Amino acid sequence: MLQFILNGLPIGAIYALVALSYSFIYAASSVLNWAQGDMVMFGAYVGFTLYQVFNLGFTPALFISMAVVALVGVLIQYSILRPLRQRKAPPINVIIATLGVSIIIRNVALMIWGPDAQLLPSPVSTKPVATGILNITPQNILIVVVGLLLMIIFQYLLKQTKEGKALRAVAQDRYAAMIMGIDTERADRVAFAISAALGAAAGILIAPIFFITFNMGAGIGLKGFVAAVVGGLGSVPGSIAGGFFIGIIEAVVGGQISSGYRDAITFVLLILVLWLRPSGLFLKKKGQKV
Amino acid sequence: MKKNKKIFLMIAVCVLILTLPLYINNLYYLHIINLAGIYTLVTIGLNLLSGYTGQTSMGQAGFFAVGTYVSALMMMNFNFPFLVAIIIGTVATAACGLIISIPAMKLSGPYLVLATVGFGEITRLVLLNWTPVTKGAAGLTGIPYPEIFGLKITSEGQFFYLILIFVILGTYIAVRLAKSKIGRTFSAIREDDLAAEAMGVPVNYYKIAAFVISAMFAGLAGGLFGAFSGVASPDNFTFDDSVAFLCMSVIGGNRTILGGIVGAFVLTIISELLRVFQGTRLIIYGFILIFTVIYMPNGLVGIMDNIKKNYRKNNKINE
Amino acid sequence: MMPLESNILTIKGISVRFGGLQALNNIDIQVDRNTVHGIIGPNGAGKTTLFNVITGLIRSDSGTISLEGKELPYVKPYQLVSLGFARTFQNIRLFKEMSVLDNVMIGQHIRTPTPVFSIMINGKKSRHYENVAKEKSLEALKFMGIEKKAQETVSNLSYGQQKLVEFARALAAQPKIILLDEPAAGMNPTEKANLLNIVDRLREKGYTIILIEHDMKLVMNICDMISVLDHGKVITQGRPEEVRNNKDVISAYLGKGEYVNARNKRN
Repeated sequence: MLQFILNGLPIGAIYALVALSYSFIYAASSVLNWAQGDMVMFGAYVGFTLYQVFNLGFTPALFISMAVVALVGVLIQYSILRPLRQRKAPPINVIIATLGVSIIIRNVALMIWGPDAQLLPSPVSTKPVATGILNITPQNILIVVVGLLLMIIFQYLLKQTKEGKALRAVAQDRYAAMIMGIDTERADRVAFAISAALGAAAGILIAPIFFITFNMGAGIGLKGFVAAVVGGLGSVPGSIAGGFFIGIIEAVVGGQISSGYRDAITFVLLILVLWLRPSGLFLKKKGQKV
Repeated sequence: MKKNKKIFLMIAVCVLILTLPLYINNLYYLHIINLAGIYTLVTIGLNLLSGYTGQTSMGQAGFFAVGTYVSALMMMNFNFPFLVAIIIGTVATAACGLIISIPAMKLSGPYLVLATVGFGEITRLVLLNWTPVTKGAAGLTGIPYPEIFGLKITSEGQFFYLILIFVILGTYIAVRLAKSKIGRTFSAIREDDLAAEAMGVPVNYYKIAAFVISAMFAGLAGGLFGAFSGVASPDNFTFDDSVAFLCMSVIGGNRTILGGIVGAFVLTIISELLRVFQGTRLIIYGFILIFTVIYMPNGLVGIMDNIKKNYRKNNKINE
Repeated sequence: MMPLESNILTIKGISVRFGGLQALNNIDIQVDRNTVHGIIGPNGAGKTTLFNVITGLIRSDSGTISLEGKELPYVKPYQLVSLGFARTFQNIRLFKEMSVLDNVMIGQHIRTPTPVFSIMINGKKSRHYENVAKEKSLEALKFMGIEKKAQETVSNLSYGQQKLVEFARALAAQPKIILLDEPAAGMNPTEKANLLNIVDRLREKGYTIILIEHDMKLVMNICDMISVLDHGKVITQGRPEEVRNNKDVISAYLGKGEYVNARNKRN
């Protein structure tokens, strides 16, 4: 049982990063970025290319990929989401737009890197090491450590820097933030850039274990979204907790009960949470104003 | 003068539609049209749920799948005739609609979307894993041709008329609902469900009704789809398919029934036309989606309405 | 013949607590039939909370509400209309993308049955009920003087016109008691005079009206009885002349700052 929990940690960290990305964009601009999972995929591919073509090591590849994908994110925000906001598009239209982005990114990736799965080798071993009764993989440790590091840096930036405070203001009350002189459009761009970068990081971290395919974003994106909602959409600690929660549940259910129905059970859990505690498991209930 | 013109136009359109298989001989084109017709039933139901009542659903493929599998299994395992099987399939789908509507009616926005996605995925995974019944990943093959009152429907042309009948029936029912007190109530719930409730509307019952109705439309379409394609596997009913249905709904215009019809046809046909472009096909498709949603927020029907309004305005000025 | 009980609505001992805040504390209010009853008080006194309790949006922690002598159980908001209540909202809650007539017809929702089968086949029954609902709705619009705008989309109307549509919608629900939540908010003097006229005519027609309002001139002008709330408690009730000079009321408002004073000066 404990083994399963351990196995669930790395994927949980990945889900946490993706959940964080969803939550962050949603909090800042009420947008659900369905292309988030594809950012993960794109980041993994970019990292792969940096390694393959430029022979870069893991760490530089990680940072450059994050930067590249962040730029792509800003491009998307500026060219698509900004006009939608300016035209006061209904949320369903925004959903379709981000779905369109998702389709485009996926197929661009297919065109550039082809349909075959690629492998990004890891700086550490991907073979499990036995420690007592448990098996731990160094790669898994790397994922969790780097993941947590990124989350901590993220929290720090959000709480301590001026930019971060501006972003939090926009997330709490966009109108008030605008009145206070905060450039809300810039905040949107920054939020998108950071979310995209987090996605890219997630992609590179998971790449050595999952093969990189143009479709890998779909599953991860959806699970990350589930994690964000289960933990509390828009909440940083909630999303992180939600990510690990989903990751561990998946591993435990997959290991103990059935691997085929594993995802189905995750979704049943999701619907139960939405039904009974829609604001999220780890978030305090908010009242409804009349 | 104008009224006669309108009636003439409508009769001409009807004649064109009714004789379509006579002048469209290419089986491939006919197949696409038939497929679009089946999808129309799904989008009509989706428009009632999401355009009118404002409950965005990205899980219609789940209902579609249940309709296909249940009616196919009824025909294959119990030898039920097509019409009976399709009714059973629709009832089964209605039950699914009822089940998902209970948590869903409390939700809105991204939470609702996620619940419907969850439902769609659960359905697909059950179909994939319940191998003894659904044959798992291999799916069902050899779904029998529909036989109605002795007539076996096998050719594309015959399917055209079968699907046409269902589309006409479905459209009629949907339009009746939309134009009635029920449609008005749906719209009120979309606009402000709290105010609607304050005025006496039992909002939750109507939300449940909207889910069940949209599920039944999708289930009916699914039954037709099974008999039409002869095969069914969980791959046909993925999240991407739910997305496609939603796109058809929004691109056509989700506030009207006509929008559903237009959306289903336009998107299905465009999707096929784009095959010429091979690899870039889906990329162009994505751009079309984005473009439409930014510059035509009310869908194609919305654009047609705007053109009509401007035309009338200009004519008034000229008088 | 037994005269109708003059007391139509009795609010007894209603208390509501939000976390650490006692929003309403043992509220006792009697509303008489066919009167205009004002509920006033400084901002934050609990007026809208009281409205929300009456209309079922909030559940009170204790206390009862009785309609025509019969105690009301906690009912869901949508059942209030069948009991005889209809309300308007402080920040207009209309169905913006629908026509004026459609908006008002929603008020008629429970007054006619919804015969599903007849609707599907466009049968006589459903058409008849639609016509009944339409007639009643047009009547309500006529009463408010805006029947000409019946086919307009609500979002195209001015603020004042939208307020009238909301009144018409409440009227179409055929209530016994109409609850108006700050009806004069955002109105110019002409519109306010029109509002006075409307409330007067509604009273003439036999309706009971309960209103929350900040405009003192309007309140003193139109109300038969006034209940004054402050900090969740009723500090006094009575006729306008009595309330206007009551020292507790004056200090409650003065205590809240120049704001209310200035408002009174303006009027």
